[in-house]
Amino acid sequence: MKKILLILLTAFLAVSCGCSQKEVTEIDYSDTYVENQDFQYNFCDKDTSRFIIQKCDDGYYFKFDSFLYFVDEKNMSVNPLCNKSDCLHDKETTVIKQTECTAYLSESILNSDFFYYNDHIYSFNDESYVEEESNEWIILNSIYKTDADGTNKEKVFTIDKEIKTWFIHRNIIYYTCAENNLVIGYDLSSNKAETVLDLDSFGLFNTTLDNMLAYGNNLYFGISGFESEEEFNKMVAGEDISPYEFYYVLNIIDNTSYEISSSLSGSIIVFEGFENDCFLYSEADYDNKNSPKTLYSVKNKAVKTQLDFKYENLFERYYSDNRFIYVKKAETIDDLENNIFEVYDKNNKQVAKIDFPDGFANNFYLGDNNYLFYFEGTNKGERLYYLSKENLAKGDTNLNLLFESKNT
Amino acid sequence: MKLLFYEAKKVFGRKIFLIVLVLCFVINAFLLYYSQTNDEYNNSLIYSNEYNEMIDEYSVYSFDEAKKLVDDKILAYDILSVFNMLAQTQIEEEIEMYSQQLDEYRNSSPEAYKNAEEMNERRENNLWEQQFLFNISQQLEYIESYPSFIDEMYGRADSQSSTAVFGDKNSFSYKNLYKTADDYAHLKNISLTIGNSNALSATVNYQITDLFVIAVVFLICVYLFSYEREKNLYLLVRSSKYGRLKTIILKLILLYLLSALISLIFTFSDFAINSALYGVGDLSRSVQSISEFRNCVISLTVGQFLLMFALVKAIGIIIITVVFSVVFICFSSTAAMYLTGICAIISEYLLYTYVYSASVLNLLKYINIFYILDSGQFLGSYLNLNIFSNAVTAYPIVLEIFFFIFLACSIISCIVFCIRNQQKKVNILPRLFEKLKLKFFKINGSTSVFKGECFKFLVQNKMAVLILLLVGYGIVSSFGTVRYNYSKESDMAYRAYMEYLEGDITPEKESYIEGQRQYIEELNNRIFEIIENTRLSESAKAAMIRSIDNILKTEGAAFERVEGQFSRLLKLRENGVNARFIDENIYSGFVFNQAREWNNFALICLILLILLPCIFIVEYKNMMINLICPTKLGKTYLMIIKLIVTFISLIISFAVIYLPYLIRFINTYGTNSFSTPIACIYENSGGSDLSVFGAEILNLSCYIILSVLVAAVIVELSIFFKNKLIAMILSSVFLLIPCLAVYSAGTVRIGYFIKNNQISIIIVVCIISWILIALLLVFAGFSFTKSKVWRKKNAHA
Repeated sequence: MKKILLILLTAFLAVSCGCSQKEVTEIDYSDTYVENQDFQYNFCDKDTSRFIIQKCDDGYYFKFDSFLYFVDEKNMSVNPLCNKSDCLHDKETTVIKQTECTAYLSESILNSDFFYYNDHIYSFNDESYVEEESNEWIILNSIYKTDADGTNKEKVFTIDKEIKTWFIHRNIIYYTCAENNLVIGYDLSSNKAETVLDLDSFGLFNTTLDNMLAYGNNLYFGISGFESEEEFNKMVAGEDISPYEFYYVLNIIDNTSYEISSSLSGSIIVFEGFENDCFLYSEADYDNKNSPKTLYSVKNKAVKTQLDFKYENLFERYYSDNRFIYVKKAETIDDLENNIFEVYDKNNKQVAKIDFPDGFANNFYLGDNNYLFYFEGTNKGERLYYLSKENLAKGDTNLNLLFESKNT
Repeated sequence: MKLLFYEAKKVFGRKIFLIVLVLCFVINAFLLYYSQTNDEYNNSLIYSNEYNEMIDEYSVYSFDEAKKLVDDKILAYDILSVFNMLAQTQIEEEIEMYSQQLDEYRNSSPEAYKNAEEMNERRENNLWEQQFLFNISQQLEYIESYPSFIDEMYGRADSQSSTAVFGDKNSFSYKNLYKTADDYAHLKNISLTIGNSNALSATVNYQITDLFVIAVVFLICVYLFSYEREKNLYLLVRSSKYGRLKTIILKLILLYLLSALISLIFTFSDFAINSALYGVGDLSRSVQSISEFRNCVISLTVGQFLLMFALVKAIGIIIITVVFSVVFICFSSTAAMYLTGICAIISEYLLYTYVYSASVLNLLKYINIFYILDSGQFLGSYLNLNIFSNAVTAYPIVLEIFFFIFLACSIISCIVFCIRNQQKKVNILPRLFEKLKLKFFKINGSTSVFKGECFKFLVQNKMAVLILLLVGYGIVSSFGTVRYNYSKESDMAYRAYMEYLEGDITPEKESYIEGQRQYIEELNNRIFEIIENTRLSESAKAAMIRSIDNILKTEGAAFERVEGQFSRLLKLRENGVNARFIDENIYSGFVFNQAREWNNFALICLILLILLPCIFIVEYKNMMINLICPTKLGKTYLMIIKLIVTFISLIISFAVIYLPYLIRFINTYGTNSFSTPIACIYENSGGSDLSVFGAEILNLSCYIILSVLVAAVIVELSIFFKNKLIAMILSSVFLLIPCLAVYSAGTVRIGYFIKNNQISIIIVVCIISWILIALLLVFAGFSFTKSKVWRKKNAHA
């Protein structure tokens, strides 16, 4: 009896050990955009890197009001990501039933709190709570992983800090915390976290991380700070001194790095996207309204090339994907609210002009080869639109409403 | 049948069992009552009669009529609130606005307006009535929406399955969608009504009863299996006519019957108490009438649901019982039985609580005894399990699996009971330990009573290992630092401020604060200047404002807190308190931490109930108790020595649990702020002069008194029952279960009373504790020293 039990136990342990081996993810380290493993830069807002939409093999995912929805690419139909037909999803009237819905993500104020990566959905969950007696806010932030249909949920990691921003790129979750000036990389294969960047190492005063992106084998950090505390105090005292702003580029293969900053004194660079595997940015002397704004591309060790594109005004923005170039027109800063885009093909021939709904808080997403997306946020609610690029090529700029949520 | 009767007599013949059963019943009832009446704003309880009357009133009408009446009444209350706001306001614009609103109401809803006028004249504004009306309105809305919820099920399934992600017909998701719709189909034309479901909801959601039932069942197992083993009576059974098989079968039958009966009694008593508090409600309406049970697919009335609920709980208890029976029969060591049984229960509980419903491991969550014990969820929610990509309804499969477990465990119990020699065996490790003991720890010749007791406790009962582990744990825990969780961005800046300011308020510090105030003001003013600046570009302005904002979010927010703290300290200084700056983040957690206090106290209870029972029982076990009486110093002296050994164990346990945190804290933050009054940390501490160190000493003193009380309870139980396992079980019932019940009640902590300057409560608690300690020790002493009764019992035997 004892021998049988011993044999069974040994066999069970052997099988368990075999079953506990981690899934090994093959990463393609080409220095270009690779689908299903890279940061989806075309689906993020250029200035904040915030997402609400992600592309997958069969369609798209987007998040509205704490619920995750799936858009089927074939017919652009929208459904909550829940496999229960007895669930009313976002229409449930009680909080308990809402949280039991598979499509429910946390009540987080972060916009970019889910990513599609390697056929899984990674989502952020704010599990912070108030300790009743001390009224102390106990921070607990977690990252979860589910299958593409929202099932098989498991926790990736939890930390007792507030995650400010995060994304996944080539098997590593990069995140920053409210507590410190570090960028941490969590490796999904080894389950270990390491410091990727320490903002305090730049020797600047009051250093902030304004933007964080990834493309190919590079991470791009938009950093600003003052040369010294004295300079900051001079600014506070009344002098017109702007912080020094630049992009810090870090290669994830060999850990080499370089900086991209403006060649004009006292000027800043503005990130404009990625094109032909190059980092695009514009620079201008914003204090001189008549000064030209120039577009540059950078690839490898700050070798920058000026592009032929000519901005007509200082406040114009440049967007580019594989098919078109989109220019957001604005003569003054107030015009940016109008959200008027001129669309050109790669031969610089204008194909369309899109007048998106007005609003400063709205976002334009380049999308993929098939669709671009537009998010509109108003007091009455939020809307997500899409526009077919096939139709755009023919000059058809009719926006289709994908989803709408109303504020009650 | 006769054998069954005698087995039952073994259990019911013991007065102690009946006393424990009654005590558990009473404590459970008390805790249930306390949990329901604890909330002073629970209008459902306070106005339960009125609520029942309202339900009865609206139940008479048809659905549409009832809805109209309720909506009109709610509207009347809305209009009444406008009347009240109009009466209270002096602002012209508001008066105009409210008057306009009232005019609109008068025109659009004249009846509701008239009702509101009448209520206004009668000065009627019952918050509870509004709450109940809202509740009834919600019930009506739910009833109205239920038919479409069922009708649209297939539509939802079609919509979801048409997407690529759920479109694979071989996937669990696809099958789940349609199986769900099929399983709900028979509820299409079910009739729903409003009603009072508070008693049922309170019964279903109350979980503590299960712990008491499990404890009683554990005790029954002790009497049926362990007691006879310890008396070596099983040797007689082998030679009897029917041998062991019949004995074990009847024992198991009795065990299952008793478990089921006790579970049913406890469950129905819970419902009876809740019914007395809230009212019974209509038991004949469909259970789907209650929104909490919307996802129940079984066609049951509320009364039938309650019966099923009790039955399923009984099934869960029987399954736990059968697992206990296997543990008791397979293990002969007391500690192994207790620990294995507890570990099995705890691991099932942890799996049920912490595994997510969408997790890949969710089978462990639902094929789980606690899922069955959570009978409200088990019956009241619809769930399909993913078994090899097939959608399988949860409750039948779970019951089937546990039925097989039940059969398997019963068969194993029977086989092992029959085959094994049910005597206590000594395994390899204890035999090795015995050899070591004989070689190195031997008493040669005579020794003092104290050394003898220490030898019995540490060596004979092997508690030396546990003590060494505890001391090792205490030493290791004392190393390291206490890390404060800097959760907000401003916390680090606040800490930086406190590193300079901590301590007495000096003129230098006051001028530093003034300087910082001016600096923060300057930063705020600079933002406005930058915005107004026409020379700068928008991007430059944005960059500058962002950098200033970064400072304001951290240092600015921290300074705001420092300023608030400073003004509070100045007021305290005026009231004669020795006000000093102190890091509130760090020291508020040091003086009072709800979780840490509970963890420490629960841990010390657990350690004491493992350590202490063996001190007083050893003489009863080896029958040496009668030899002590004629000795020179008698039992009283022995009792005192045993109490000293108990006290030393208590002190060691207390020290290793409570002191390491204090040591680590001092190691991390020093003792500079120990003399600061706690009034400087908490706003509501009533200006108490008690220092941080004083608060900590008071806290430790109170907990040591409570630990002595715990020890006294365990000592009394050990001596009274003269059985280690029974003493451990009953200690768990009287100590650990109430600890679990107050886990989330933050007001039941010594630190809470200290923080809120409720010293009188602390004094009362200490006095009561001392009285109880004295009484318990006197009774224990009397029980231990009486010899005539024991001799009489022995003589009779």
